Amino acid sequence: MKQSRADGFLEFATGRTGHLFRSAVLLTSGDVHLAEDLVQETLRRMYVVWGGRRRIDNPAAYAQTVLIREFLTHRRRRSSSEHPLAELPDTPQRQAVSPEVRISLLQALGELAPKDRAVVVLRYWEDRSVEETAAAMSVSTAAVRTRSTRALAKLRAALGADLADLVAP
Amino acid sequence: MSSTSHTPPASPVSPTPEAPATPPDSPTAFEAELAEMLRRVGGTFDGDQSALVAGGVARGRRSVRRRRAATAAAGAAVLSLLGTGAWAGGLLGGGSEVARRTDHVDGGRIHEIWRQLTPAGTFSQQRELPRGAGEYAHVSFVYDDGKGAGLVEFRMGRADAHRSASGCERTDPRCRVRTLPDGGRTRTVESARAPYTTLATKSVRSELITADGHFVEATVWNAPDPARATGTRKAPVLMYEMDRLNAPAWRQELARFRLGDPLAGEPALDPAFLSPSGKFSGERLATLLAGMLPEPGHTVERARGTTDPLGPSVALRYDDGRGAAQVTAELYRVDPQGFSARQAVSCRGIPDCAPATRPDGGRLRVDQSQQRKAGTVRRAWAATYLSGRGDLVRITERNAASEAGPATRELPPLTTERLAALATSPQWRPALDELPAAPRETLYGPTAGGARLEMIRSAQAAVRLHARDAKKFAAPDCDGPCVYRTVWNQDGLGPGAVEVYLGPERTNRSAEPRLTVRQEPVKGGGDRTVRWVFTGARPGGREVTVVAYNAPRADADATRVGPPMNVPLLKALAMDPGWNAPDIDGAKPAAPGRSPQGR
Repeated sequence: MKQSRADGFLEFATGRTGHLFRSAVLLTSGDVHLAEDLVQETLRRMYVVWGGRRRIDNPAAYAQTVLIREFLTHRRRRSSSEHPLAELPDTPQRQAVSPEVRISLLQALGELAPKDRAVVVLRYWEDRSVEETAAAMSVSTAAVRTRSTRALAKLRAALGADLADLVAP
Repeated sequence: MSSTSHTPPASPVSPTPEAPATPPDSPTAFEAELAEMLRRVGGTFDGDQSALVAGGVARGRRSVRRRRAATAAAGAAVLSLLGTGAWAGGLLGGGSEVARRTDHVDGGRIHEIWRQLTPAGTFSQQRELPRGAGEYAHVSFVYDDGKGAGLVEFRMGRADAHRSASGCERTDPRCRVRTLPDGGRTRTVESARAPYTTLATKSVRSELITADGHFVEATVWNAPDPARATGTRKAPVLMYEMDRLNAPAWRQELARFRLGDPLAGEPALDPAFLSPSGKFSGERLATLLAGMLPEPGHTVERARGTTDPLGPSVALRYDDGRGAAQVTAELYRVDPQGFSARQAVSCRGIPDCAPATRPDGGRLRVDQSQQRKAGTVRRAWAATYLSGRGDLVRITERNAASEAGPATRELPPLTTERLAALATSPQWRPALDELPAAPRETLYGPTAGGARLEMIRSAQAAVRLHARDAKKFAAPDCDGPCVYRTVWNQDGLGPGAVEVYLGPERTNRSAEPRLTVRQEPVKGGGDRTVRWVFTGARPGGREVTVVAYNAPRADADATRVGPPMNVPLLKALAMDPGWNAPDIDGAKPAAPGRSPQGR
């Protein structure tokens, strides 16, 4: 890869990795290790595409789609080239959300089938439309609507009417 | 919490343009609140972004290199077909970095090392043999030390779990296993029992499994062509020189091969990392088990589905009219060739146990145990079935109404034959299909891998500290008999504790490694607090117990969904050879009732 392209990729990756990681944690319903693996695999694919001849119009959305598809095809596959994170992140502890809320949400997401969870993350975390969600998941819009309805019903049952209280400041 | 408040969030998700009147396209209050909750919770997650970027870029570069190498190799193949094979070598030689890299040791180099190690004899018939999967070298030669010639076959490569876990039958005097100070292990198997007094063909196979997961193996004969002739000498050549397998020259060659991530072999009994589709709820599994019982009377005590973080499991209280009993079923997917599978269906060390191989190739173990409690004899009978593809079903029945209670009848309700039929029933197959196949299991290997290397390093530092001054050592923040304790929250998902307990002495006197994994709620602990308990011992090693919580303390409420380290990392920590270093002279005595098993 040419130096200019490599610099561009690093700039993109540095700016988007945080969001990709947060999406991945929601997709995996709190499995941080798997989330890290998915993000690195997404960046790997982006790197290969970035160095190719084809230009990507919206790399952020493209990366998000790659992440979703990586998650959906994941079957306990763990790359032997997993990169060890030798340095610990030097970040302050954020305690804006109570553990109860965090656990309730992640456990409720964990109860969903992976594809239903992907629909929820795309629709309500990524703010994607039904059509965009369908395109990202390579399914029909009807399937997205069906999965969305089912997932919301399950989440409503799990989180209940207490959701408003949970998100209240 | 109130269920009446539905205050719109400060920044609800903007309505999507399509079909505003029909749910789910139009955002209801619930959807808006869900979006807000996702934003608030998701915004707190923090990964090590720079390391993730570095990891992604490194993977990307490797992919690009592999593609180039594949292109070069394809070009070489075409050239070779065209009869220009000589060019192909040049093309590959001048090609990519990957193409230049070798995946084996040259046979000439192997023979050269053997000459250096055993200079007294003569060498002949040196051959390079086809290498098997994971082998770096496979050669043979005939060696003559002046007392007769004998064939030597030599291999070295990557030790798989099967090789790592292989030991000796206790009653076989021709097999010996020895554990080395560095955590490696040697095994010697003789084809005939010494002393050797005849010229009949004999062989001795010696293998060294290094602590970092390689093997070096030599098989020596007392004849240059053992398949066709009788021996030219009584004892195989070099059979007393097998300590040469541990020579630094082999280590140097092995150091060229970087082993894959040892944590890639995720542990078999790992229901927390499954990605099931959620079709089998606990209730459905309970109905399935109840339907297989001869009488209808039962109540469900515990029912976990395939999505449960503690794994699919059912416990029924069953009464056939002769007293209450407990019947449980647990489902797993394991590596059928792996260590966990061997342990699950092996009868080694179990007094009343019958192993069997089924016509379908699956293995079945039926064991019966009993224990006196409260003036009664508690009996537990279990059938464990392992299929060829790694389905593991364990059915347990007790003559008591619960796992801890006194006996309520003389015998468990089902015969062992019936129990075996339940374990081998094809009715479990749809639920097992929900569980992804377990990857190949590895037990040993360097711990330098995985996404939480720092945690392992920190624990290893504690090992070294303990080794340096075991008597004065006191683990910081350790309020019990543990030698290491830490609380992690580097990902923003909440703090979780990890503790390490060391057994006082080397208790595993067998040649088999031991590892048990338990994932369970903390009894008397905080709300929704769970712990994962890993108890492991290397051959000849001490027992190491690693306990990880999803809370900062056992008695605190859960602060995260699961513990901060995943199962592969905890397994690697429990099996770390550092705990068996010679200068660790034992842990502090365990306080009564404070051991992780006792709490």
